[in-house]
Amino acid sequence: MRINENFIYKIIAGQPVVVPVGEASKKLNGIISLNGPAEVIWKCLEKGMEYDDIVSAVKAEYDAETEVIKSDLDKFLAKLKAYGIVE
Amino acid sequence: MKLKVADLTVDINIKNDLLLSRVEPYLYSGDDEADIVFTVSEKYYEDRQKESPHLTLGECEYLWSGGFFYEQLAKYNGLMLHASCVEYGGKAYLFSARSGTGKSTHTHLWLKYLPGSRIINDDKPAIRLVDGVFYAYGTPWSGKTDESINIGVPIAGICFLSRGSENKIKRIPGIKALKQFLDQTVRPYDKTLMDDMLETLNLVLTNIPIYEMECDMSEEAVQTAFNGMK
Repeated sequence: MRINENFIYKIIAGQPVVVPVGEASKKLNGIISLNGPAEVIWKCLEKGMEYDDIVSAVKAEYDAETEVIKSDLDKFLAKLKAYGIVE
Repeated sequence: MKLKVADLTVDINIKNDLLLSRVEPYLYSGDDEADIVFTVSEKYYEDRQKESPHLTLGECEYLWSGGFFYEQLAKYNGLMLHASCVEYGGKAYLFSARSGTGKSTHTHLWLKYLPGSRIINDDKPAIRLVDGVFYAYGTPWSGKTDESINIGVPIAGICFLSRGSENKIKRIPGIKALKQFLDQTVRPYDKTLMDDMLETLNLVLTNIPIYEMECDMSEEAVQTAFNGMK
């Protein structure tokens, strides 16, 4: 999984966000806030980590059942793919 | 032709009367090297007009040169806010909202009820961080009413306005204004410029007091705003 280079990660006023640039900004109006596990997942995607390693990374930071983590991860990845943020 | 805008030297070709008249207070004849260079062919504006046939050539030149300037501000710790900016007592107060909300109406009430106040930029103040201070600047791109002064004034606060039946103002954390700010600024197309702009935006939202205000368009609205932000 690769992050589309037309998206910038930034911390603004304490809030981690993802902002579209270039052609992506023509398709997507707005920004995405990364809260909690979403920020961990994003950092993993930036490093090019694979699915199972991402699950482990989230589990290391958040005390939750693996199934719950996987379910949330799947939803988040689906959203990122729908927005063209992740290929 | 060279201009000084927001303490930056701008090198630009201007052919149409609209922008020529707007840049008069900004003309610069000194030797400083250009910080921002905008030289495009006539064809560039002709192409823009073909895409937007409701605009005159002069309006295309005005709009696209302004857009370029505000994007380039990012390189100089700056950004644009769609706001009406009024100065009073040596400090700048910016009122931002979507078009038609009443930003300009509100700041013009300041002129009426707070004598000595003046409009720095009625439509698109440039904001820049210079030597640790955030300044709001007049620019030639100050909207339909062409009200601006070629100076920079330290910013007291930024207020996001909405209409209401009562006058209420409250301070909000910078993060709560992020979406509104992004809706009312120029977002550079280029990745590096966008990155620079977001860095400045982070500093703006973290260091400048930000407010939300509901107001009617009365004298009380002016007092509520000023007392809330001073």
